[in-house]
Amino acid sequence: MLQAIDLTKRYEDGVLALDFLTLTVKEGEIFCLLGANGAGKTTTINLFLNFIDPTSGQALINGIDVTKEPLKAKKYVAYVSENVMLYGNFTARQNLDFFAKLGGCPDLKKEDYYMYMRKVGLPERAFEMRLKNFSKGMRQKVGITIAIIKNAPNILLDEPTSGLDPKAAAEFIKVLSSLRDQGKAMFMCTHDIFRAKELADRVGIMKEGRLVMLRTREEFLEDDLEKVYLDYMQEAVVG
Amino acid sequence: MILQIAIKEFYNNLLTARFSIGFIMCLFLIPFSLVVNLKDYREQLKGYEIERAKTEKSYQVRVYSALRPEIVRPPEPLSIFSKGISGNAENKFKIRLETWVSTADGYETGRENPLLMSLFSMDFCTILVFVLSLFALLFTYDACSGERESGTLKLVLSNPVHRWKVLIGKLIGVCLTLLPVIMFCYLLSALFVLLAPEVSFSAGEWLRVALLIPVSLVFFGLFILIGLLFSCCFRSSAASIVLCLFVWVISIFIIPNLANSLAKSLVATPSTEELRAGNVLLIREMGKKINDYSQSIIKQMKPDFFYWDGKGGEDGYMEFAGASRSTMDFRRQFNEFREPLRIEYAEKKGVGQKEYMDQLDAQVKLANRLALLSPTDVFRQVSNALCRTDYDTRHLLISESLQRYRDDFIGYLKGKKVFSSYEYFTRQPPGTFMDYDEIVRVRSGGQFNSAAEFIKWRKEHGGDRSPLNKVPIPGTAITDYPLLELTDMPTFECQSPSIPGVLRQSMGKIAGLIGVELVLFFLTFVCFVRYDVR
Amino acid sequence: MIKALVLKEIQESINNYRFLIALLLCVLLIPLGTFVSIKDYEQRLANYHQSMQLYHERSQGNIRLGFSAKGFRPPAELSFLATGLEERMPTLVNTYSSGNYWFDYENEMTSPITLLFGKLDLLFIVGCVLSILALIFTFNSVSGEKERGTLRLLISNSVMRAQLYAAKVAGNFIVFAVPFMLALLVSMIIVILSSSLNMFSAYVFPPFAVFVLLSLLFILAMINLGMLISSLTHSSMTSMVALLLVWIVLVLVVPKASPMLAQALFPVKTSQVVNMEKEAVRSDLNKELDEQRAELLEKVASSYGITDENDLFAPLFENREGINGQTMEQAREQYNSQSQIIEDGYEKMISDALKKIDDAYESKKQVQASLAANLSRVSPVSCFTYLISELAGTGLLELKNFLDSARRYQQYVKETIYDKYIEKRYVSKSGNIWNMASKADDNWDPNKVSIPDLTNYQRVTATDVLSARWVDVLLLALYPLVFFYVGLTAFNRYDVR
Repeated sequence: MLQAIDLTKRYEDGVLALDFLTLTVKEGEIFCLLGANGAGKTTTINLFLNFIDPTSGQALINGIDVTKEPLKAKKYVAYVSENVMLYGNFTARQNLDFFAKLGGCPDLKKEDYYMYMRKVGLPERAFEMRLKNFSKGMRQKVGITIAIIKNAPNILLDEPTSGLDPKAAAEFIKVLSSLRDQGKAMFMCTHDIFRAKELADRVGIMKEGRLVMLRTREEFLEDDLEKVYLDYMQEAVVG
Repeated sequence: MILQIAIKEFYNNLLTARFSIGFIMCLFLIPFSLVVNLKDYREQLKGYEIERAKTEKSYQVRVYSALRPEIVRPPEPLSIFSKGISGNAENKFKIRLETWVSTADGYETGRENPLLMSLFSMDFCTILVFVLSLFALLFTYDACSGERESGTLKLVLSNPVHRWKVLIGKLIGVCLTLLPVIMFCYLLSALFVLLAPEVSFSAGEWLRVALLIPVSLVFFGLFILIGLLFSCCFRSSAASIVLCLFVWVISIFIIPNLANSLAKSLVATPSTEELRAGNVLLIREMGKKINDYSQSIIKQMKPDFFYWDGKGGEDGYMEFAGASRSTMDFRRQFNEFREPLRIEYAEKKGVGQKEYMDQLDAQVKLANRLALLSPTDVFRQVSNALCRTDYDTRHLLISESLQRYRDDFIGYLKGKKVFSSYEYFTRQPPGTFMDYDEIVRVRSGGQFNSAAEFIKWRKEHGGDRSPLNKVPIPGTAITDYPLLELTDMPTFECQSPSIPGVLRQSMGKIAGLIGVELVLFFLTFVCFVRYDVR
Repeated sequence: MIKALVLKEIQESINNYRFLIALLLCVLLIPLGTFVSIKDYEQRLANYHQSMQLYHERSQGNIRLGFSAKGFRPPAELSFLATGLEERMPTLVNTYSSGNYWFDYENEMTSPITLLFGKLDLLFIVGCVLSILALIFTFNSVSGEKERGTLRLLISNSVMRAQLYAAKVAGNFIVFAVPFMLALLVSMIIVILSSSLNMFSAYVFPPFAVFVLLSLLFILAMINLGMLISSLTHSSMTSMVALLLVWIVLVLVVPKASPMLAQALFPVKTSQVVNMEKEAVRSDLNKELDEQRAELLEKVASSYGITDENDLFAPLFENREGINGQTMEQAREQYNSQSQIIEDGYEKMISDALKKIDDAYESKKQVQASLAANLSRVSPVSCFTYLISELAGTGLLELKNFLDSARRYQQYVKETIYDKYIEKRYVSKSGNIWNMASKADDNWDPNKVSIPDLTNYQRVTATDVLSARWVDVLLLALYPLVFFYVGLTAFNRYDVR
């Protein structure tokens, strides 16, 4: 369970990146955060990962305050970045091996990694290939595999589908929904309204650090999400 | 966890192009430098053998006044590892009564274009410093910034790992990568030395080489930490590498040269001409004293200055046979006065020379101290000290060992009372000395009965001495006598700083390096903990 | 178009802190190096004047056959450009009536500080520090832009790649040259302010101007080399490593390896072997001489009817076996004069033979040395080093020049002093030689001769250097072109993906 309580971040240069965000993502739920570039989506993820300290408020992972007990909190969260650049000189399996050990699963065997990679749909030939030769879609799949192996109840995804071709994106989404079925709480920042619509249980729209809209699946399916999004963005331009 | 990170770093480093390029560089440069230096050493050794054979002759003398030992220093085998100042310094010395320690003509070692040699020497330690410090920087400059740029740092830190563990892991990983390379370099060089037939190291020398290893590890630790620090200070690795290289350039080229130039302009040395002028005055003073004395004893002893066979040379060398008794007595008494006086004046001249040398010494010491700002120079100084090619070793040789040997030698001569003995200039037994009259009588076969008669005759015949060739007197040629037995001569012992001495001396420097490393580590730690991973 | 590109390069470089560091290094190091070197020069100059004065004082009224005239070499004015061989060159030449002249060096004991490390002269700063700076400036010029993706953007415009490349070279060069020139200006001011050197004299300004031009050429070569490497590699990491490798090879390995290679390609005997050969020739000829002498002695003795040659040296004024002293003296006279001829002939033969060996050895060594020098010219650093040391008057040309003038000086002193004496030689029984000298012309007054010195000594000029070392100049001009051409070719084929 991911919880943000009055989470605020003001940078040193005075920019208010996040303004009193209060939000909860429950187990088995995918929360999609939409918003323009610089709206504060990545800041939210950075706050959850304790990469930056909040100005005020709390970020809780499974009820643990990340600023107070960052290491304990990080046990319960996995992270998939926008552009998964792993160690280019390592093979996919070596990368997985390293991160598995970091994530606290030290005794996995080669076959286990192969199994996980098969599960996310990586082709067999890629298992022992150097990562620098991977396409972006394949790299993202390795990234999600790392998150899967870590087996954390919460997953933070920072625009995971940007730059993926439709087929790769679709495959990626399929993996995510299977993870939801396992009861993971997922917090995903994205620009991709269609994927969000397809996948999300709840959708939030962020603008200038504020969560300006929050809809459940039923709600946003009723009124056209795309239109709502553009309306909000329009306002920004007008305002 | 630290281990995992270290192993990952290790593998990651191994797989990069820089590792292979660097390794190939070592593979190529280390043997190259060893071949160069072994060749140099071989040539020096050849020159040394020839010179030593020549100096053997300096002990084949018949009289003590000819005995002026020459000392040739063998080339330092450890200079293969660290050349230091051994390449350019003189290594042949001559002990004289009249001068303090001075050099004989050194032998030529290099036949290379002097313009080419002037830049850098290419010994093992230089290669190690050049290549491996670069290596250390190249492996660490992007340790943090590079991972940030590729985004893996975020991924790593999203896991429950302490940042300090990540840092230590990285440090260990780099060390793990560099350690085999350094050890490989040492093993390769040891192999070369073992396979070279003309070089054989004693156990102590191997120990010195072995001691180089921990010193070089400390040295590389510093560069590793500098690289790490920069990588943690900067967000882009391009910035980090550029700064690392600047530090490298400054440490390797600029500081040592600057220290040298500064020391030269800070510590003024008196001109050599002044020194020479002072010496000239002393020599004149001494000359006057000697002249006065000889005039007075000539008046007193009235020698007839009849010489038969004789030779003379520099630094009081004279050898006679067959001279008249009064001449011999005069010579003996004259030497008894002159030789101690010459030694005394050598001491007096030595004062100025010593002052001059002390000034030079102060210059070098200051240059060395200023150069300590550069870690490379610290390493160079310590490695030179370990390889006995540093300035201190040379200083010890010139101001201690040679000085002492000169004192010993003079003490030996004085102890045998040679200055007041006939053996200083002749081997003819005093019992066989003859008066001028007697000599003339015997040699001319009775043609003349006294020296006065002969002198008168000679004047009339245009200085002809030939009547004296009629009857030879045995034992009046200098070559009639055997060489001196010099079994009790003091032998020259070269003091070089012992290993514990070197360690004690270098301890401060190494401790300084370690201290700087600790500070750097602390700074790196602080920077990394506060590093913005975004 | 190209102007915009160059401007962009300049701006990009100036905004980078490496420009700042380069600026700082240049502006600090070059004037500092100049200052320290000039101080050093002043000390040498003071020493030189003092020595001259002492020499003149001491020589007054001391001129005779045994007088050894001293010719002091004035310290090189431009040693702040390059110390070169300055400290290895003789400081003075002593002439002797024997015809041999000897050189004195700085000090009997080498000053230990000269053993420590190099100098901070401009040659070192440019050849070593600025060369690596130039490489640091350019190492990611192409590969870095590729990594950032801006290269694709640039090339997607209608710019010729050649233009782009040339603009990069020009921009980097300008950015690099400006602080360099600035620093040189400062050091020029230091030179002008120093009392001991006249900046605008014919011996200082032309070489200095040539030095500036050659340094710029050298820096251009290094920048082109950096660009070449940058356009051959695809990541700035690789270009960095490759660059450092190239730099180490150019600065460290080539100068060391070329003499070894030359030795392997053109082996020359060591001086020890040559000395032994000389010894052998000498002893052979001496033996021959002894034989001839004995023969002569026998001949002379028999022609005078002397049965025992040793009688020649027996007391002369006694009649022995019917030969009177007169005959004996005649015989001795004849023997002496004839043996003198033989001896002189052999002396010449020996010296000719030794000279032949020496010359052959020297010329072989010369060939090897020039082969080594030519091999080392693979590296622009070597070319630059040769040229600048020669320009500064501390190179091999100057050494040769001084040796030549030392020979001329010996000749001059011989003509003005030594030839005014007649010398007789006496040899003692044990081989000691005494010389007795007397004036050839009794009216000649040695005290009226002005004390000879080397004041009319001519330094090599910049023109001499350029005409003797045109190869280096040509190469230094060629290197940037070659690097540029190869770099451009590589850049034209560069895969921008």
